[in-house]
Amino acid sequence: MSDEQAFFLDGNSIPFNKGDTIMQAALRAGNYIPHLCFHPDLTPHGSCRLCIVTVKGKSVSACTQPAEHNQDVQSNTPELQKARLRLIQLLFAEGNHYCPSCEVSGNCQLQALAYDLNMTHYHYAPFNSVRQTDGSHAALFIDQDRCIQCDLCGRSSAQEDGKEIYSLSGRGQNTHLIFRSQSGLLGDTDASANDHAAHICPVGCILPKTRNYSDPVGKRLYDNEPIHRIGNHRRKDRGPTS
Amino acid sequence: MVKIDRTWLSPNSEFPGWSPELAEATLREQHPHPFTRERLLQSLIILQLRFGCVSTPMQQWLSHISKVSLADIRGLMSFYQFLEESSPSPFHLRFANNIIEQHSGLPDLLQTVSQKLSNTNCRIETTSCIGLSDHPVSLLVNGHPVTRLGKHNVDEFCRLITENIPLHSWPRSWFTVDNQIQHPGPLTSYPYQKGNAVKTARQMTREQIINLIGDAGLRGLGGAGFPTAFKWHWCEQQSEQEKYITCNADEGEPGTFKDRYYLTHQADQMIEGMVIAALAVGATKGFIYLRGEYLYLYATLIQALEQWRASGELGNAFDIELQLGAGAYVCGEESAMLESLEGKRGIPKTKPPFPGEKGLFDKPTIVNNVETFICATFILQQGSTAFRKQGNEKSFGSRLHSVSGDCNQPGLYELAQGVSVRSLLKLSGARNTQCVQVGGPSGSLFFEDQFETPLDFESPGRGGSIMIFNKTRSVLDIVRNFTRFFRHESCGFCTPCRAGTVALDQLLDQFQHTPALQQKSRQDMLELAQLMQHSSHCGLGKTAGLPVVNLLQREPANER
Repeated sequence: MSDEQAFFLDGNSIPFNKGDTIMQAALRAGNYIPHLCFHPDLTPHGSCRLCIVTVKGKSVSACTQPAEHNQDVQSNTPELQKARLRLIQLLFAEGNHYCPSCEVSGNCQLQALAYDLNMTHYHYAPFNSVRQTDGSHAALFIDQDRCIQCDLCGRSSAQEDGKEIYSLSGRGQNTHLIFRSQSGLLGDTDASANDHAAHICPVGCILPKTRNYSDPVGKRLYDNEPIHRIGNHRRKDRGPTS
Repeated sequence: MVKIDRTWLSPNSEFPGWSPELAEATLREQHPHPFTRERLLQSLIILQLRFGCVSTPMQQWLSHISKVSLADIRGLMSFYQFLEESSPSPFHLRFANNIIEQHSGLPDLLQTVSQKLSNTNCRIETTSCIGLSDHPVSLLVNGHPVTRLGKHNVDEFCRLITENIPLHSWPRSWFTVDNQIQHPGPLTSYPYQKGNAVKTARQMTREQIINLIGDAGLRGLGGAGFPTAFKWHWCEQQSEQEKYITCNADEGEPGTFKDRYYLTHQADQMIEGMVIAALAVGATKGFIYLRGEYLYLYATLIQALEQWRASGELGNAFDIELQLGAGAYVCGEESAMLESLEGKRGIPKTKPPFPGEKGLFDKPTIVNNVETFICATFILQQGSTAFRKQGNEKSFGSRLHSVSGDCNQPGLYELAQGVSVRSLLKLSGARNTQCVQVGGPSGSLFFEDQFETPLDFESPGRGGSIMIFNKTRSVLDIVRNFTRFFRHESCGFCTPCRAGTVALDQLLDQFQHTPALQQKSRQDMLELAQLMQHSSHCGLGKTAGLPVVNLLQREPANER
């Protein structure tokens, strides 16, 4: 019975198992729904809102919405793509993103989605947010200018590394990443560059201190293929699709 | 058993030095298990009240004794506005900066106070509505309300602070909170007999209680208007043994203050309503979540709960715990309130699942607002017909409207569902009215041609908070105030609300000050408001763009 369940994503039949969200089933079937805060190995968060889809006339986040049999789900519509573009532009205006000089340029999911959604300008005035950096760790560098508050590092650290090193703090515009040590510095936690959490950042907020800029332009992950075709990866862990 | 030490809950301007022994004794006095993860937020709030701050050494001590990470404590400290890390000032002033206070002379008053007190170590801040819009200008001094501050007493006010006169020696009349009902109705004037409704409920089956509530046509009065009987029925159907009843006393919608009245004068009816709900769904534990701005009602509620325990109706099969919020509007959103009750940052949960199925601590949970529980008690005592005969064909019963702004008699008005905006304006002695904000900033702005709109569940706005503006007021200023409010209160979880509220505020600034870009700002704002409405995680973000939409829909006629 459960094997025969399916919903329609932009008219394509997508099989799903009981308990699947729309996102889980769609990705498994090879259909891409834009996203930043979702990762197949982690509890969904539903905060970036890029995966909004329309179900029965209502907008819902595909990563948290349970799939239902025979449900009609619209995702790749001009209206939704426009909404996603605006959300990306809000993220660009909110943080401080210097793509041309960023280590993650070409491998960054935020940038890749911006290209994929044909973003040509900021649209919203930059917020000029003042954000912190943290260079206290021997192998990792934190640049919160680029943080998009997706909590992937927080969830990965808790669920995959069993460490709970990263979490979000503050409220509203002042939401920011903090680290679980008495001093508040990453260097005083037991974070390691081998943690899953150290590699899950979809942007360039958590960076290794060595081997940066190692991929020449033209060989970077998203240089030749758009994100909707190859999915959300980081260069070094191009493994499971997400 | 919770004990209350009234000396530090009463107006106070001296704080004892902190020591681990005193801190532990204080926390244990309030709760038998103060060092669990769930009590973390409450413990921080109690420390804040007792010592005037939660300094870094206090945080480290609490982290150690509660075995929680310091990061969790920092997360809470930075989310809840009323938790302070820096050492206490003898006078911490928090002026409400809702539009009503803005219109009642707040900017001048703030300037005077800031100038006169510049050489003292008094701390001056603004905060969102504190539930006293009918007493402008009002503020909290060390958590306690001073009402109707104005030109007539501001000099004296500043003198008392400059001369370091302790708060308990200030004129008592300054602390007066007037809860007079301007227009009574059945809910606020029926001959309530404590315990009768519960007695009736005990003789009924769960199904009968829920059916009676359903027959009365009761709908939630917290904003969403969801049929109460549906909610209770759904929770009743869950097979879990443990269920919770939670009462949302976190009325943060600017311009509303009905709970202030209910909690002061009809707390028993609210508690009784919770007991009835517990009987109807089979719950064993209840929580009241009281907004931090209503600290002065804490002792009253504790006392009311004690009396219910003494009568045996509470404490055995069902007990209620009182918890405090600490200055976060978003915690009025039901799932954010549940997170806060669990001792966490108030980030709204993902729905589904809904609280009726998986709420507090993932157990089936009823979330109703103060007034809804009061209605439940009314229905059980007076019968469903008595409730249903008020109102119109689709919305039943009556409700308290909190009226403030440009009218002769601001205050509380109990009206049957369906009474028009115009009738309420007339009752309150409003003249020369330009527009009325119904339902708070997340509601609707009505102009003169819309004053026939009924205040009921079927119309936009619905009622509750009624802010009246006369023809001298600038609609743009009103909308800017509301937009800033949402920016300040966004929890920061989802992109459209966290970044959208900031962008909207910036665009509104551009709209106001850069005429050449007015057309473009207008288009961008309408588009952004729609984006926020469609893509936000919770009601706050979904409604944060409405004031701007209300403004632009009236353009150009009401420009400025």
